[in-house]
Amino acid sequence: MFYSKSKPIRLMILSGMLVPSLLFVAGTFFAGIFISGVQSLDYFPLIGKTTLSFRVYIELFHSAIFYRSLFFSLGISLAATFISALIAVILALWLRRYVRHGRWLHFLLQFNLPVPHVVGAIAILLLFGQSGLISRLTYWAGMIQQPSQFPVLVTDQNGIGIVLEYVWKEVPFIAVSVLSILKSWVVPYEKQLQLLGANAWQRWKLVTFPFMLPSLLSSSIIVFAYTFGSFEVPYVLGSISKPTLPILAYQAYLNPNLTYRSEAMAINIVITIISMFLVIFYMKWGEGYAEKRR
Amino acid sequence: MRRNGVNHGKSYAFLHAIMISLFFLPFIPLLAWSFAQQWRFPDLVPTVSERAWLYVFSTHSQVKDAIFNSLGLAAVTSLLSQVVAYPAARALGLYVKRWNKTIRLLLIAPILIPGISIAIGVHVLFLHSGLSDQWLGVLLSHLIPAIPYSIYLLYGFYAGYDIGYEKQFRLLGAGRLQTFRLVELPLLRSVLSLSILFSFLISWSQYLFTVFIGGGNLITLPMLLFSTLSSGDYSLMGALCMVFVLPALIIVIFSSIGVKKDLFEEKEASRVDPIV
Amino acid sequence: MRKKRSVKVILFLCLVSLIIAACSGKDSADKGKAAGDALLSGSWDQALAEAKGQTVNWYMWGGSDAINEFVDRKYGSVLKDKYGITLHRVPLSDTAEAVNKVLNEKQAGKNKDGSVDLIWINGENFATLKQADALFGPFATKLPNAKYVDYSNPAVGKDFGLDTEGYESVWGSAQFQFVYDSERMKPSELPHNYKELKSWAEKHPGRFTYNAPPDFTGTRFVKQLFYELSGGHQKWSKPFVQQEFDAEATKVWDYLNEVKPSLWRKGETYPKTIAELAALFNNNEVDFAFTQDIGGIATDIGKGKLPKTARPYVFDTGTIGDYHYVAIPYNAAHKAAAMVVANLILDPKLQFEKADPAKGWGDGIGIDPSKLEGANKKLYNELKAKSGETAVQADVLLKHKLPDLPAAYTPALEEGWKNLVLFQK
Repeated sequence: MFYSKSKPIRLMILSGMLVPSLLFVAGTFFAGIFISGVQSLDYFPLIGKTTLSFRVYIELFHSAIFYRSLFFSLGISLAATFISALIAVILALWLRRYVRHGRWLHFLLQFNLPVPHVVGAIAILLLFGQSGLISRLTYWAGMIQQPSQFPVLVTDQNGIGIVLEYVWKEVPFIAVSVLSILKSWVVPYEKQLQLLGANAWQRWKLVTFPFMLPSLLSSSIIVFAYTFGSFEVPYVLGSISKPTLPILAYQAYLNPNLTYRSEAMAINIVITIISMFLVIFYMKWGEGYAEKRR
Repeated sequence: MRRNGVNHGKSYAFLHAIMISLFFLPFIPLLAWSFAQQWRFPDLVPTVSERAWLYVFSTHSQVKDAIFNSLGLAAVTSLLSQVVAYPAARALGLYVKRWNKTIRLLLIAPILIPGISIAIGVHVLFLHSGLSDQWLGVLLSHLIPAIPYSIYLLYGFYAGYDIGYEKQFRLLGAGRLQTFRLVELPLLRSVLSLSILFSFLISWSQYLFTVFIGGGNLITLPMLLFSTLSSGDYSLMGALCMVFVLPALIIVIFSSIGVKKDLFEEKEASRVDPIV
Repeated sequence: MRKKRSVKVILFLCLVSLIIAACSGKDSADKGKAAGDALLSGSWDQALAEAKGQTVNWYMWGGSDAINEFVDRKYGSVLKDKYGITLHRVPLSDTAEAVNKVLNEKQAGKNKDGSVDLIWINGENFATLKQADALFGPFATKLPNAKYVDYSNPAVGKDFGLDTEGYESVWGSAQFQFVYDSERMKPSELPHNYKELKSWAEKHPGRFTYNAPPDFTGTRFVKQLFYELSGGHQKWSKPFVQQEFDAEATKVWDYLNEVKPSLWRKGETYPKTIAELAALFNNNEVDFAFTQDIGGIATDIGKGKLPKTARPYVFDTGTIGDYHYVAIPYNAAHKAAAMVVANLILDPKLQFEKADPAKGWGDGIGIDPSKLEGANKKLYNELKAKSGETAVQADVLLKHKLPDLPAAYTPALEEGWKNLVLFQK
């Protein structure tokens, strides 16, 4: 195709390649956001509301529960992303030592990638609940006498259970991304530095870390975005008195009273706007990755 | 690298132990619960019953239909999303220079924007266009996150792809199709299979879109699992979770025979999916 | 460069067409309504003939394998063999999902061939659909088996205080009961009203909790408290008045906030569902669970969800009991078949099987025993004789049965609980 000297034909072929996906994304995804936006402005003909107003947003921005949920969601995502990234980097640095003999290790690392988040959440519930498996083990070890003495780790006020699930699920994700960098281009540079007499810390500071940073950032942003908007995990592991933002939206949507519908849509728009910032961060920082590889 | 290859021993075994306990541990209570009749605190071992499994394999549990629907949807989603994503990724990675970033921003945004914030809007849209409650509508809704993800993965490949090989091959007189088969595909294979795999998993674990768009006409495994969630029937939850995980796991194991090598030794396939 | 412009144009066109599509709502006329009217005025045989070969999409909460199994096995096979109808049960995690679906379809102008044919429903969800004019009917009294139902009894004819007017047909009944473990507590130690419950909870910190409203039984637990603190249910059968409600409801919030520090996990959180509460009870984390099953808790004991020594009982001050129903959306595609299903589930024999914990799941019957004759009467007496210690005697239940509050109180109580109890520091 790029052999065609005629510019119009080249343009036609190129748009033919791009238009299907653009059309699809515009016709579903952006149209969906558009409709959410319209309904969040209180436009709802079925219950006789045909004028646009910012009433819902004004109410939302005056609601203490909204802010609590917003900051709770952000906090959970931040904690989950940070802890996952930290463990993932340590794990990746450790794993890279076993390139030749690490087949089984790598399989293990991949093992929970296909596990759906709901399943992970249920597993965490059955494992870390106050009457879960670990609690029972501590009972037999004589550490507790009854479930209430076991620390509250799921449906807790600080979202520990939710963070646990995310960390369990996302550590392999980030680790795999980082590991592939560590195993490829970093090695020759490190060797050179070593020949030049650099110590381990200098090698880490000058080569290893800067090289894996873009990949670490891009995967972390994806993790942050996912954990921020996920509904399934807090649905299973969250405390009823500490709803996350998506849970708040879901509850408002399921309320049979239709006047709550615009509230659900407004929360969705807030989630979308925050995620949009993440998209922009992603394009900005995650990009270094692709650039470097050229 | 060699230098590190020597000291296996303790640290190597320790790493194994950590990884196994970290990643396998959560499956133990699920599996145990699926065979439990009664399992009250502080019992470490449940009284055994096959009730949950009998129910799962009975006709009225709808598990068979659900597996069928889930598999069908996931298979079609994973293939269709390649068909749409491949040309776009190639165009963006190789030819389009102007507005490249903006177009990619638009195409990749659905990965980072959570399903819940668009599922409701998409539902209203599909209702107007008569797509809701239809197999096609649910399929399209699964493609919403799947296509961007495939573009994202395949773009990563083409961004680092050297088109020189193709050019040379074409100069030697090979046709377009031949070039694709003999030059592009072998290089693309690992990323492509990864992309197929992850679109499959995105569809496989999709709950919100299926419920909103399908409205229950199309029963999938996540729907059965969610309706069991509210019943507190942990045995049933355990059994359904196992059913939910196993096919995905089998597919991953099979595909990882091909992909695994590339996943760790080549840079292209370094992206995996947090969504599933 | 030019290519990019064309992309932009296409994008723009795409958005415009979407907006147009979104704005054009009402197109299909009342064709569906006319067909439905014929069904209501025609004979039952005509309905049966029309129903033959249809598939009914029955949307219902799908969390219990006992219910799913009963519906699919019992109803499904009879419908297939006798009426040529295929029953397709759609499992929900919340009935509100089905309600939203119908409302969404109405909003989009899909006035016929809707996807929901039958919903298992009551209370608030019914009120929502009825007020949105989104139900088909009145069909309930058209059903031949409606002769077994006493719609003149306000407990049946009114759902949460709202006249059903034939827009929903009875399926079964339920009554709130407390569950305790006879191994942990003696009957003499049990609290028998909310006042005693409070002092019990204060003496046993951390051993009591209730599932959070708007989960059905959680709301009911709060409603009963509302009755007791405001001096009985009699004064609340009238329409909702905010001031009167607020005056009495503050006592409820005070009570619940005072008891909060003595609750499980100090009331910082609550179990989300009645099932979570049962799990806490089963693991000896709390000493009370709730049930709604009039036929007793034998089904749950058999599944290991409750300990073998669990026993149900009711407060002396009474507990709320009510009926649950099935309704047909106004745009249902298979109304005739849905009516046949609604009729079949009233069949006395199937009603008794459903009420038997061994065959069904201990759900209360929806029909009126005094309207039964001959063999059916005998079956009913057999069923009554069966109820052992895992069920409260039917006459005891009946004596302590309280009506539910009118529908408008439910959201008021739920909102109040959320803002003044749950989120109260």
